Amino acid sequence: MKKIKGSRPTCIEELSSALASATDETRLIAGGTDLIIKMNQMTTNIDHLITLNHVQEMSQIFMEKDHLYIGGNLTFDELENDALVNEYIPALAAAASMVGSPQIRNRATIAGNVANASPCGDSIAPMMIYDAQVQILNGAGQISEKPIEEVVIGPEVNSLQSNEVITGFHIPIKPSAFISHFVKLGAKKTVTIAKINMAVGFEIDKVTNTIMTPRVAMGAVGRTAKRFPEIEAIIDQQLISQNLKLKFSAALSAAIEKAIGDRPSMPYKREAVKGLADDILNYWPAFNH
Amino acid sequence: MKLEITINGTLHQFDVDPSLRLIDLLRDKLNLTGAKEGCGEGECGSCTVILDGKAVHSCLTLAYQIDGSEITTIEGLSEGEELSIIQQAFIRNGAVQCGYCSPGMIMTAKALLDKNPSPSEEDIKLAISGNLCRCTGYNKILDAIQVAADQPAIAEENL
Repeated sequence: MKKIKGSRPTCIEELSSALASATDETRLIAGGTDLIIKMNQMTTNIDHLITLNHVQEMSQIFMEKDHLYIGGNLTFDELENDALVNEYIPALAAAASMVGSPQIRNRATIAGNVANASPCGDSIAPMMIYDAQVQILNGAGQISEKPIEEVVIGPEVNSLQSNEVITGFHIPIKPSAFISHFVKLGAKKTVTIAKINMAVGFEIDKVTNTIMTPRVAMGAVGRTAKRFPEIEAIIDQQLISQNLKLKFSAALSAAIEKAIGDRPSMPYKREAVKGLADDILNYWPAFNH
Repeated sequence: MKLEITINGTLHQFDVDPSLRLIDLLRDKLNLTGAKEGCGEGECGSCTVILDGKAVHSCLTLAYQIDGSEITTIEGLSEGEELSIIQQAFIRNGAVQCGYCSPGMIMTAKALLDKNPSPSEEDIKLAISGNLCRCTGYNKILDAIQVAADQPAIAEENL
């Protein structure tokens, strides 16, 4: 069996040094809940494993002036329970609570979930509705940023080079009146991969009782998770009412039909999304009469 | 890669291949065969151990990643021949049939009770959602964990 080199960097400088010699067969590992499964299935050749768990800077979460910085090592258990995440990007806290099992949530990290770029990845839709920027470090010590849509570019395809790593995320802070949530439909109630997941956010104009600045993203209904501006346009400035709920449902259904028209799962998902639409809107008292 | 970890209170030093999984370190190098590989993909929970206070799948953790950590396995719960309160509760409440899921299930229960000594039934169900059992139908497992939670802490010390 080929001998694998192991690196265990403790800071950004050491991580960058380890990446300097990266090849196509170098693998980064944090939680390991995706990579080790691939290793067990022997579907991946590895010459060098770089573990990220000890890189201190990647375990931080803090406010900057108008951004929330989330270090790439934060686990889903940490994200679910973090006060800053619950305040400034609640859809992500909700998504985090639904990833895998408790054991997986104790290890799986947000950078890993994004880098793995599954069409069903639960952290991606929430980050899309908040215009998350991905912080990337390379083997030359350079740090750059890209919108998440430019990192997650296909089913299990990211745009990172062999010598690049996601170190964290910058989440622009939205106005305090902006609320968001996340729902997921799977074959089981828990410990399940999404058949559809959805992040929705908006403000409510209290005077007119209408939706403002809506954001809608779905995953598992296309090659990557994505935002749906056409659905946002349909619900924008609409009065909160039973009629709005029906319009929203219909818009989601139509979007799925367009996005995955020839997939065998389309007839199911086109109907199932209506239940998810109810689930997410009914989360807010404003929609419950 | 050099590795130093504390397992069930004992400090161990190893030199391991980076690709060695924690479950294989425990089972093959230390003969701690309580943790079982039921699936190898984080679905069944029968490999669950406690890592720095948290329940994790040992089949999805590489040993070299956890240098400096503390692990507790099922073998670390008993003191000699004295079983812990959780183990006794599982046996007395019919929560063990074939026993395959039991080490993982009990470690998950221990991680829960260490963090939340008075869990509700919903808390318990959520905590064990990552552990499959094919025998009991789960009800007796829920009962056993509730019984263990209801024991006064001092009884644990007297074991």
